[in-house]
Amino acid sequence: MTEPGPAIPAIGTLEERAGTDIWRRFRRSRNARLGGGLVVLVTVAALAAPWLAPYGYEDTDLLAVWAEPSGAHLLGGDALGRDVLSRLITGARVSLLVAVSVLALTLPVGTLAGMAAGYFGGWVDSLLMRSADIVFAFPELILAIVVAAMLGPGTGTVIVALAIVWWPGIARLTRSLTLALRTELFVDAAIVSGTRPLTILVRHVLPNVVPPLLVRASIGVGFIVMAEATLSFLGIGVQEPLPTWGGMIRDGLVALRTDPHLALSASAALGVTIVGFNLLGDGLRDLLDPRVRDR
Amino acid sequence: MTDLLEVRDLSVSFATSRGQVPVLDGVSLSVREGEVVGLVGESGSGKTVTALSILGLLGEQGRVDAGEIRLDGRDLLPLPEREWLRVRGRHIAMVFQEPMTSLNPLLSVGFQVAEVVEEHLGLGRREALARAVELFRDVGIPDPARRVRDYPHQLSGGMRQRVMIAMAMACRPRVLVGDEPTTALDVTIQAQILALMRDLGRAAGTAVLLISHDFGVVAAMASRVVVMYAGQVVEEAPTRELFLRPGHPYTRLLLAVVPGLREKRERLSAILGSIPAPSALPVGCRFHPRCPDVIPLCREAMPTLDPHGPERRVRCWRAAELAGEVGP
Amino acid sequence: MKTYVLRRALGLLPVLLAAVVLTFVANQFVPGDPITTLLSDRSGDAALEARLRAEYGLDRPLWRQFGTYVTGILRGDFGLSFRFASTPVIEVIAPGLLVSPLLAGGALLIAVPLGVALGTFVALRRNSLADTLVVLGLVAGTSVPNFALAAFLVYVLSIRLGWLPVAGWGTLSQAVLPVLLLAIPPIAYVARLSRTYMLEVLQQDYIRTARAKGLSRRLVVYRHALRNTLVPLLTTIGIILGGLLSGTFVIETLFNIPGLGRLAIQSIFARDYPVTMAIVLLFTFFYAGINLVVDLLYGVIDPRIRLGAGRAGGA
Repeated sequence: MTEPGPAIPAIGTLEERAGTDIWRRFRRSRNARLGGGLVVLVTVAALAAPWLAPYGYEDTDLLAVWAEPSGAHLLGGDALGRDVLSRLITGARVSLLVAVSVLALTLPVGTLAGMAAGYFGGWVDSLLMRSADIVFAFPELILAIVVAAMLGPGTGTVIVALAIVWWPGIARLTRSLTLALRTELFVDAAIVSGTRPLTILVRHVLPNVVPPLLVRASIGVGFIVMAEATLSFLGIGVQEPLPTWGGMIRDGLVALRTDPHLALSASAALGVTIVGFNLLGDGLRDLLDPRVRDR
Repeated sequence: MTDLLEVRDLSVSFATSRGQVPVLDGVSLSVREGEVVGLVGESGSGKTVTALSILGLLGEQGRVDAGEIRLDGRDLLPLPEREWLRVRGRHIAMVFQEPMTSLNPLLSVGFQVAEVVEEHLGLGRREALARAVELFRDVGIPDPARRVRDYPHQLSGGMRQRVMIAMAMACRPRVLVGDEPTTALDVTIQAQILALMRDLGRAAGTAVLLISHDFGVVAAMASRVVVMYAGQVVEEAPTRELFLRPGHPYTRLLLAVVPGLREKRERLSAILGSIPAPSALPVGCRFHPRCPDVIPLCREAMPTLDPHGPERRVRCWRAAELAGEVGP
Repeated sequence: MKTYVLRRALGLLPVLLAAVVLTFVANQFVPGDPITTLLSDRSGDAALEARLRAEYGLDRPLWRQFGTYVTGILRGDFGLSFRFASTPVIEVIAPGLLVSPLLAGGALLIAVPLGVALGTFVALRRNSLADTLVVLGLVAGTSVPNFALAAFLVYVLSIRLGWLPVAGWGTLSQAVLPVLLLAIPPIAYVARLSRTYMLEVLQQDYIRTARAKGLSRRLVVYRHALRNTLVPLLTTIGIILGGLLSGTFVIETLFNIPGLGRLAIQSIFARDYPVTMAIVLLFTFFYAGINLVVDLLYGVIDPRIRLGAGRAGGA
C-alpha cells in the first residue's frame, strides 16, 4: 500500500525516489508514445484515404448488403452494400477534417482574443470574459445542438457549432497565460519602450503560449472528434453520403443483433482515435511540464 | 536513571534513482526520563531522518539497515506496523515544524487532539473532547472550552503549535520528539513554546529530544547536546561543556556563527562549503574538506566516536590535542 | 457569507438572460415559415392561416413577441408547439420531465460514490498493476463516447448474454443499461480526479501528523485524507452534470426512452423549434441552478470560507 505522509525531506542532493522516478519517466513517454502512435495511425489513414480504401465510400453493391466480413470486404458491408472498411477509413478523413477546420478557426481567434484580453485588460477583457461565460453557461453540447438546429444539419454546421463551443476555452487559457507573463513583459516593454503591443505579443507572449496550447489542441481534437460523432449520431451532423463514424454507429446499431460488424468497428475506430489524441495530450503535458505530479 | 530512549548504531539508507544511498551511519544517542537532549546540525545532517526513524515513519523509500531503537529497553525496529500504531502517539510523540500545514484544515483543533485519546485510551467522543479542553488549558491556550471548536486557520502560529504540543502530550508519552518546533514561529513566541515543552516534559517525566539547527534554542533547553554531521554523530556533551569547550572543529565553527554566544573568539565568516551529498561522501573524515584543523590522516581514515571525558564523545583524530588549545 | 451568496446569485442573471435572448433570436432565424409548415396541404386557406398566426402571436411586432416570451417563461408558458398544432409546449414536454431527471439523477448517484471509491482504491496502490490498468481504463472511459461504448455493451450484455433488455423504458432491468452507460464517463472523470487529489493529499503534512499520532491507516485515509479530497471534488459536480445533460440526448435516443433528450432531437427534425428551445432553456436553467447550489455548498463545507479569518489572537 502507498504509505501516506509527505516525502522524506531532501538530504543533500537526494532527489526523487528511485521507483517513482524511473516509473514516471517511463509512463510519461509511454503516454506520449502510445498516444502518438495511435494518432499517427489515424492521420495516415485519413490522409491516404482515397488510395488506401479498397472501394469508394459511396459505391453500393446490392450483393454486399450486410455482408459478413470476408476477403472481398474485410469488415463486411453495410445496409446499402457499401464497404465498411472503406467508409471507416474515409470517416477518419472526415473527422480529422472537421477537427482541423475547427482548430483553424478557433486557434487564431481564441489566441488573439485571449492575448488581447490579458494584455490590455479593461473593457476588452470584460467583453471577452462575458462572452466566454455565456458559452460556458450552456451545458456541454447543448449549444452545439442549438446551432445545428438553427443552421440545419451538415458538415459546415458542425464546424461552426463546435468552433463556437470550443473557442472560449482557448481564449481563457491564452488570457491567463498572458496575464501571468504581463508583469514580466512590462519591464521589458518599458525598456524597449516604443515597441508596438502587437510586436510584444507576437514576439514574447506567443512562444510561451504555444506549448500549453499544443496540449490543449491535442485534447481538443479528441473532444471535437467526439462531439462531431455525437452530432452525427444524433443525425444533425455530417450528412450522407459522407461517412462519419457517429452515423455509422447509428446505422449499425439497428442491425446489432445480426450484423454487429458495422457498429462495433465504427465504435472501435472512434474510441481508438479519441483515446489516442487524449493520451497524446496527456503525454505532451507531462513532457512539457516536468513539475506536474504524475496523474 | 535509566535511558528511556536509546538509539543504538542506527544506519538508514534511502532508495534513489542512483540506488540505495546511506543517510544515517551508526547514529547513537540516548535520552533519560525527564531529560531534554538537543540534536543539532545543519539541514542535511540527518537529524530529521533520525527523528522519523524513532517514530517509525520512514516511508517506502527508507530502510533501516542496522541498529536498534529501544524504548524502555524494548527494541522497536523489528515490530510489525500494527504494534507501531500502538506506540506512535501514545508512548512516542512528535511535534513538527510547520503548525499551519501540520493540522488538518477541515477538522476542528479540539477534535484533532481528542482523536488521539480516543484512539489510544479508548475514551468516548465526549470524554475525549473534555480531555482536549483540559489539555488546551495545560498548554496555555486561553478560553479553551471555546477554542476547541475552532479550526486551524483561526489560530495564530503560536497557538497552533500549542495545539500540536497538546496533541503530542495527550497520552503522556514517554518520549517527545520536537523537530524544529519553534523555527517557524516569531522570536517572541519561541521562548514560551520551548519553556512549555520543557515544563510539561519535566512534569510528566517525558524524555524530550529537541531537534534544531539553532544553537540558541538548544542552549536554553537541553542538558545535553548531540551534534550531527552528514549522517553521523560527531560530538556529544553536556550543554555547558559543549559551549565552553567544543571538542569537534565542526562544533566550534557552528558556535562561532551563533551571534553573541562566544565572546572571546575571533569572528569567523560563514563556514565555507556545505554538507556533502550522501551519494558523494568524501573518503576519511566527512568533515575534512571544510575543516580548518585538517591533517593528512583525516583524509584517509574515518575517525571513531571516542569518549573524551565522563559524558563527552568526539569524532575527531585531533580532539584531545585541540582540547588544549581551546580555553574557557 | 451572505455577500458571497448574493454575489453568486447575481452573477447568474446576465447569463440566464443571455440564454433567453439567444433562444428567442434562434427561433427567429430558423429557416422556413412555421405557419406554412403547419398548414402543409391547407396552405391555400387564408382564414386558417390568419387564425393560426394570431394564435401563435406571430402577427405581432418582434419586441412584443419577446416580451410575451419572457413573461411567459416566468409563468412556465413556452408558447405553442409547431409540431402538435395548438398544443402548449409545456404539455408536450411534461411527460419527459419525469423521465430525464430520473435517468440523469440515477447516473449521478451511482457515479460519484463509485468514482471516488475507484479513485481512492488506485491512489492507495500507486504504480501497481491495478493502478496502471485502471488508469488506462479511465482514459478510455473519459474519451470514448456513450454510444460507442453502448454498441459494445449492448452487444455483449443484451445480445450475446441476454442479461438485459435492449431498449424501452419502464422496468428496472430496462433502466440498467441506459443509466450505466450514462454513468460511465462521470465515473471515469471522478475516479481520475479523486486519484489525483488523493495522491496530493497523502503528501500533505497533516497526513504525516495523523500517522505520527498513531492513527490506523483506515482512519488516516477515511477521516483525514478523504475529506480533503472530496471538497475540491464538489466543485466539479457542475461539469459532471453538464456532461450528463448532454448525455441524455444520446442515451435516450439510443434506447428509445421517452425523455426530454429524445424529444429535443425529434423536435429538431420536426422543426418544432419552440419545443427544442424550451428544452434547451430548461436544461440551461437547471445547469446554472445546480452550479449555484454547488458554489454555495462549497462555502458551507469549507470552514475556511464559512468562518472567515476568525479571531487569531494570542500566542
